[in-house]
Amino acid sequence: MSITFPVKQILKFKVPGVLALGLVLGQFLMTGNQSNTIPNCTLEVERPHTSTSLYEKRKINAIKLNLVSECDSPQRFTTLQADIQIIKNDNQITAHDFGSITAKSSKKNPSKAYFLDLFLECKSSETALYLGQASGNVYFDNGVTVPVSGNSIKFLPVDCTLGAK
Amino acid sequence: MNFYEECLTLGQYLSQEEKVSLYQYLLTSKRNSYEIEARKLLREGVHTSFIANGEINYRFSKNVVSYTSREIDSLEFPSAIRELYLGKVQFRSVDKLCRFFAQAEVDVLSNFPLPGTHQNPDRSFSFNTIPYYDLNYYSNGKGKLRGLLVKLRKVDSEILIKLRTF
Repeated sequence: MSITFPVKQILKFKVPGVLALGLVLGQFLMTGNQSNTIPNCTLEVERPHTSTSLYEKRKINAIKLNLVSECDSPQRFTTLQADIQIIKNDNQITAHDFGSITAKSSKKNPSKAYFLDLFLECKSSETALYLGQASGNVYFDNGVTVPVSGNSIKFLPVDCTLGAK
Repeated sequence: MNFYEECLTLGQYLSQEEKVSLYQYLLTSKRNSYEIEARKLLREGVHTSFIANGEINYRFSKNVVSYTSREIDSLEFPSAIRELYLGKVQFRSVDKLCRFFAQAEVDVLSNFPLPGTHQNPDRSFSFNTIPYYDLNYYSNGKGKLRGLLVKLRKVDSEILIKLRTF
């Protein structure tokens, strides 16, 4: 027994020509306009500092690095690699690598993600020059990923020494 | 208040080293209850637990476990925080789930500490991207073999000893 496909029915458009053309054009405009919808994001890297709140809470001297990613539209989360650099014997070396860290967008301000728990206990309170740096990506619900990076601009003295890695 | 109870109040003031030690501590001290909860999750597909001021909601579907978390008494769960593929061998699944539970509890207690701790009101749920149960954590994403070597060289930290003792 042979099967007959209703070819004419399949090929027969039910949508009027002008509307179909409009739909195609609309789709093209939406896709073609996609580059304009990529959000702008920045990464704020605060200078490494001795944390007074940590001292008040736990009586420990620690160096702290605060990071905030901010975009011009709501984000899902941000993933960063962050570290603290130190000047030792006139050389710049990594004092501590925090590894890969992720922060979900803030409930209060969904365009921002805060990294407020990066710190390391000081071995002594001798002064040394430190700089914070981080790089990574901001992720959005629509699958778009935006790279971000930043540093605390210049090495500044902090009364804290760490065991360099 | 012993050191573990103190850790439940510290939230964002917990260091990375303390979080790793807490993971190891929870994995051993709560092993029996984790195993019971793991079997329940495999059987029923959902499981809820509480730690510090956080509620954790686990889901198991198509051999993948995931968790979401919220502060106790808050209204909604955000999207999944971590996921783990379990494979098809149940014995290994229970073991993997125990590690997943310990990781989830460390993530949650460090973001939702017991009330009384001052936490920045405008903050994010933050966590280490590579979980402690993944050997890549110890090599900072540079491979499991390197991670294994680093892990084998590590001795129990003073923090872990303090957790087990006090």
